[in-house]
Amino acid sequence: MDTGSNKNTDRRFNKFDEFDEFDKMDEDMRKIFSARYDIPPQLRENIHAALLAKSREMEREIEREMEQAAQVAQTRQNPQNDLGILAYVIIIFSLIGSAAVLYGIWAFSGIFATVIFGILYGFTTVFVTVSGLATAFLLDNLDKMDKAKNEKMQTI
Amino acid sequence: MDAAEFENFLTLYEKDIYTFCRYLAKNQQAAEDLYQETVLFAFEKRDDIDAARNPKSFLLAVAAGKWKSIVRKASRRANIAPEFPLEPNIIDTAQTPAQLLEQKELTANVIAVVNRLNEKLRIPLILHYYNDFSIEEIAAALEIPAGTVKSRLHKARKTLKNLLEKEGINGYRE
Repeated sequence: MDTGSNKNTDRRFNKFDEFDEFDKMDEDMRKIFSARYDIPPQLRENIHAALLAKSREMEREIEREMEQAAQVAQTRQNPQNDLGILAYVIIIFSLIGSAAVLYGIWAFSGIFATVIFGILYGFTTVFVTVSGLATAFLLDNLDKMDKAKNEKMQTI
Repeated sequence: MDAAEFENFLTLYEKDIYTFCRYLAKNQQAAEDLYQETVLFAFEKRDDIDAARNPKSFLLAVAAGKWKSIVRKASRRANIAPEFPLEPNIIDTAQTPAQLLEQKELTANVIAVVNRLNEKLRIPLILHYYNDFSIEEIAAALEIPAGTVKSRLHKARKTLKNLLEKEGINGYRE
């Protein structure tokens, strides 16, 4: 249903098509806006340089993204690269723990030495458990990162 | 499309785009900055440019959009570049020097009047007269409804006519 307001709006819009009133002005305006300007040579040079720089920057960004994606894929394929470090840490701490245990037994032989051994052994066990959990967490994160990178690569 | 191919493509439209930037911006430096921003944006979006679907309109729409954004930012800043009239370059060998001078003066006066219009009216008006954009094309370029474009164009032309009559430019009389 047409309301009064809509009719007024339509009338106002339709006025745009009534060219009689503006004939001379339209003609002048079209003439004035038909002039074209030449690009200053310096601006053209600047544009050329800016396009080259932009192009290189975009290429570098794509390369960076590809490298990151490749690294993530590599880590995913060979998780031992990262896990290897963790394994070294575990071995080193285990060696230190074992040395301490041996030292304890040697120094305080008897029941006291057994208690010490027990405590140290307990710590080592806890440490190994925590390391296992950390490894699982790390693998889970790697998986998520891998998926995110794959999505990004598809967008590129 | 790599940088070199894009530059070849740009060669076809650079004069039109630069001229449009000069009409939009009110001083030389702003026009050059706007042109540069437009070209760099178009370069980033070069894969979206369809040579079969009027790329000139796409580039002009980018320039109009960039100008709107510049005006919005500038209105929030105090240090806006000073305005000074652009020197119209009219090359028409068929005209006598006196006619050329008259045409130059008329152009400078009319553009000065156009520049006094509010940006909301001025941008659709320039798109309309500069490139004969249709209502729908202006609406798409400025991302506003077609009805708004019609009403703004109507208001812009009416205001412009009143201003021209008030100034008595080129025989316009109240």
